[in-house]
Amino acid sequence: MLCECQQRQATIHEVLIQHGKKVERHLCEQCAAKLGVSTDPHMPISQLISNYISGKNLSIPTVGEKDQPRPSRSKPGAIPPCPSCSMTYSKFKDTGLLGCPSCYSTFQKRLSPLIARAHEGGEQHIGKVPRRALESLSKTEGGSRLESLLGGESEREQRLTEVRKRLNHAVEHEDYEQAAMLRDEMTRLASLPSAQVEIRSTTQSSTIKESEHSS
Amino acid sequence: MIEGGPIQTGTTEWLRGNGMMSDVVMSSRARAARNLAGFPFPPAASSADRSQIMEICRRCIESLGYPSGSRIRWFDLRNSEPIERRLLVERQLMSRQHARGRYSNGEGGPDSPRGVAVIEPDERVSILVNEEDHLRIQVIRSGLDLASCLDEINNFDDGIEEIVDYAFHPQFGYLTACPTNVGTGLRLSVMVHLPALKITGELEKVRNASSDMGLAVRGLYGEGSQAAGEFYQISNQITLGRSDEMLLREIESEVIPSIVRYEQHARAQLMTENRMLLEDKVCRAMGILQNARLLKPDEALEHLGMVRLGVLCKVIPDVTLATVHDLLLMIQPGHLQRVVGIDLSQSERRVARAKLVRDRLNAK
Repeated sequence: MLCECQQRQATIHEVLIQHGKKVERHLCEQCAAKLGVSTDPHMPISQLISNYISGKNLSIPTVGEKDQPRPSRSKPGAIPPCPSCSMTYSKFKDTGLLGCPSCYSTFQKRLSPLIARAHEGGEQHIGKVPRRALESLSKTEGGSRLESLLGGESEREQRLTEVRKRLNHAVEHEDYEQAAMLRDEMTRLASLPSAQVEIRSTTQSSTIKESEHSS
Repeated sequence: MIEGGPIQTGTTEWLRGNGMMSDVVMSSRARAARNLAGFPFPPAASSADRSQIMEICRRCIESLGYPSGSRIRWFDLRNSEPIERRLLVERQLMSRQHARGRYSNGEGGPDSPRGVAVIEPDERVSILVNEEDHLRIQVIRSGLDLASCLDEINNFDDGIEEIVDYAFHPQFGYLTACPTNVGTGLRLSVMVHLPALKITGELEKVRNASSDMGLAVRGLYGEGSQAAGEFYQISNQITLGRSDEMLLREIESEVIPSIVRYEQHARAQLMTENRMLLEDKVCRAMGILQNARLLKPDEALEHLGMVRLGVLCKVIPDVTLATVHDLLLMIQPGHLQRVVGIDLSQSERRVARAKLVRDRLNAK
């Protein structure tokens, strides 16, 4: 694909969200530099996410064209504040910091795509789970998620599919080092016992209850 | 638990110079971010909330079991001297942000309720209270040994969780003030010294390869800092969707050993094929350090990095690695001040730093 200048090959592919509309630009490095478009594909995630959530610069330089950002549909003020700490979504957008654990549930719909983006597609926690959380989860509707938290079958299948896809991609691009790593990952996933998390015996010691908190 | 008191100024874990691949890997560090359920995160909490959180966490840390021969020292940073905070940062026992007490949203300040617990004498473990999250448990080991760091983190994490409820979400995992840390809440980071790759001009490849793997490359003092002396911290960015074991395996078994081999290869190549270039770089650095009358910290660090390479490549036979590592700590403002023993202005520190380095490197 040619750059807008029609002289050189476009290597920088920029997707901008302007007034809710998606605008694509394809530029060569020289034109990108002239227009002040970042050519650094290795922008730290913290910067990326803070740019993304603040909406100051929704330009995400993409290497290749696979990476399509989700359009922002935020209407400031439309989301009620967190009932626990009164944090508003627009304040979160300004600072990049949430107010309290409940904010995650309050803003879950908005946060999910954002968080997935910051974690390169990671949407579901895998690994260690606090024992007490595990106990309370199993008693509530969150129990349905337990299987995936424990690295259960469906989650593993999903991950296997994902790794397989990445492996094919690596082989196509002759990145054999990466391919070898992914192959090992596949072997590991395939041979894993179902429960990654050991549920410890429930010997209780003194408990500082959260209800002590009164504000 | 001992309240406050003097901070050690001798060598510390990240400069001990032993462990696996310690010619290239200075230290490994794991950090877990945890928050108590039912409380606002520190940056959004009121001062009264922060005090209450601090008291709960302090009591909790106090009640944990520690190996015999070790002691735990608690620093209430509200009442601490600036020099004390500086020393803790320079020894990598806490972040600069924690020393300042101001959160990235502008809240807090020097008097904001916060503290840090340090396990002495080896200073491998520190637990930060009311940094960006209620608790940040940090374990450092000399050389490449993230697995031990992670084991130790898990011990402390489990111990604390026996007493308090952590904020946890079925989808997002451990909840943190900043959504970039959710999931495992775990940051694994390895500090490497890559002077030969700098000389051979191959450092960019390491940077790019690390970024492609979703890893961040930062300078010696973490976020935003310059990589003086060619010391780099390589750490994971992604904490959601990958288990701690996956992360550990990726960094400890794949990424870091490749970088280490790459640096070792560059060193061997310099020694055999381009010895004059290596000797020139090292001896110039040594010459400056042995003769300078004014030294800024970054300049000292830059040349000490090159001298470290010279010691390992046997270009400088009469300086030990321990001396270089000791100087890496002593050139820093807080340590320098503590050693010289008086309150110095910035320009006086430069004179004192140059003298200290000259004396140590010229001593036969």
